[in-house]
Amino acid sequence: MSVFDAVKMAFLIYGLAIVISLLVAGLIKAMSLAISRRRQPSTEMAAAPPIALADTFQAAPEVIAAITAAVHATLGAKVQIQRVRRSRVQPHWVAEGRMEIMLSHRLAKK
Amino acid sequence: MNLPNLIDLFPGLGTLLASSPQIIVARLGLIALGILLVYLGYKGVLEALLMVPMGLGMAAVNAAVLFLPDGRQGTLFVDPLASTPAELTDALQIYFLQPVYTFTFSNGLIACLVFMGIGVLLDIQYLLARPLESMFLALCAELGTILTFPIAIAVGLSPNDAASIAMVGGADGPMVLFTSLILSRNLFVPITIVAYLYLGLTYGGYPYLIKLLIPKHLRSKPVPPPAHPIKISAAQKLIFVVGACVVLCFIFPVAAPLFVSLFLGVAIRESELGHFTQLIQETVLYGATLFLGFLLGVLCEANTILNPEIFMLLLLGILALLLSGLGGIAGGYILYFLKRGRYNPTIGIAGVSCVPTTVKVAQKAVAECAPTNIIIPEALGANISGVITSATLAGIYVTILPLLTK
Repeated sequence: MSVFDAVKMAFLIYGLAIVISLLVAGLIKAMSLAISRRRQPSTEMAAAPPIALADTFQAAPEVIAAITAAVHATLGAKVQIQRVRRSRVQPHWVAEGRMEIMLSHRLAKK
Repeated sequence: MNLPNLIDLFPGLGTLLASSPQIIVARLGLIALGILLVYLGYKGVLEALLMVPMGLGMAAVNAAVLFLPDGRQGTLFVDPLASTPAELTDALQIYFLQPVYTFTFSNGLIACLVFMGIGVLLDIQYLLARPLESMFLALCAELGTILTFPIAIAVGLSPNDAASIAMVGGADGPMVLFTSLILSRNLFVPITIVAYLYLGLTYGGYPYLIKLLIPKHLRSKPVPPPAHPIKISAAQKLIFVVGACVVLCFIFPVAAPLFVSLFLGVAIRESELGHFTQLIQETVLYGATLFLGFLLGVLCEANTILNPEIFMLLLLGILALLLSGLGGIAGGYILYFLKRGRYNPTIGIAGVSCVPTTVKVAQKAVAECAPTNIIIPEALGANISGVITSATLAGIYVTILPLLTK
């Protein structure tokens, strides 16, 4: 095979990969849009309860004790918990877990 | 009674002294390289999970060469060249790693197991959130996979060997292993060693590439969240996974083992099969990675890999990875300009599908400039797309190349 033929073949292969990948991406996009359209009304209707939940949440004394102990263990200082409320941005927990997995292998130089 | 010769008492030393100068240098060099890899893995400069077993295997196998009963030099680790049934039967009873090599490595099973583990770790939510952007970055980061092919032909490699070494540009170990197994059995061992050696080096090399090409103020750019975030349920993800798996297997039957392994991992995750998830994530993935790294190190025995083409493979492999890294960063810059500065070009490097190393490299580079800036979701989307584009390219190479070169 000559270099010229190899270049032509490389372009052909890249072109095919682009077409297939973009078709997959288009399929994913279409699916995402379809899902978001289906979910829109129910999301709007369900928007109020979490806010109410955040205001009415009452933490049990043992929960507050556990939180105080965790904060003390982390910060190493004398702390006083003044207010406990539910986070309205729940994906933060998911993001934290994901971060832990992704950064699990030692990155820092010893 | 005659005292035994010192060389007979210490066969490792004896075989070294009885070898040609070329082999002596190669063995000592590989022992030193193995020790260096263990050290760099331990220090966190290179990927420790691969480098520690690989480096130790490399150092040990080159030290443990002895004279076999037929007078040849060899080790008791593995015989990668055994191919006939009689040779294999003998090898399985002699070499302690031969069962792992024959039943998992040379048929690609270990690559599939690693892919299954990667599948369990993947959350396709990130891909589903920005599919076009992610796929664009992944395609840009395949530059090395494409450009290395004609370059390898130009330096005299056959089309099949050229495609196998070009796949190193995808930075996807199982994919390189799979492609070279099908297209290039004669160079299967050196190509996979080169590939995995370099995959470990991406950990050390890519951060410098990022720092060289992306100024600090751009590396610290935050990525604004999507204007209309879409929440996708596990059931919807599962439907997508099953559909994508069937379609890709339908298009590329040759790469079906890899596709089905990857999507099986994702399907298990989305089906919330806790016991399977735990088994694959903790036992299968780490077990496969351990034996993969150790076997690759053991295969770096001087007599096995001292092939005249190995030097060329080393050069082509690093060129492929460099071009892919450059392509990914270029893709990041294109998105940065298209979005009028509301994008972090560092994410582009994550299009190189070394899951999840390039994501970590990108996040680390960003965190050095802006510790609170999190780009992992966007980088993971590009990374997962990279797996899809690498698998697509592997499928195209192994399907089309034999047809076009007939």
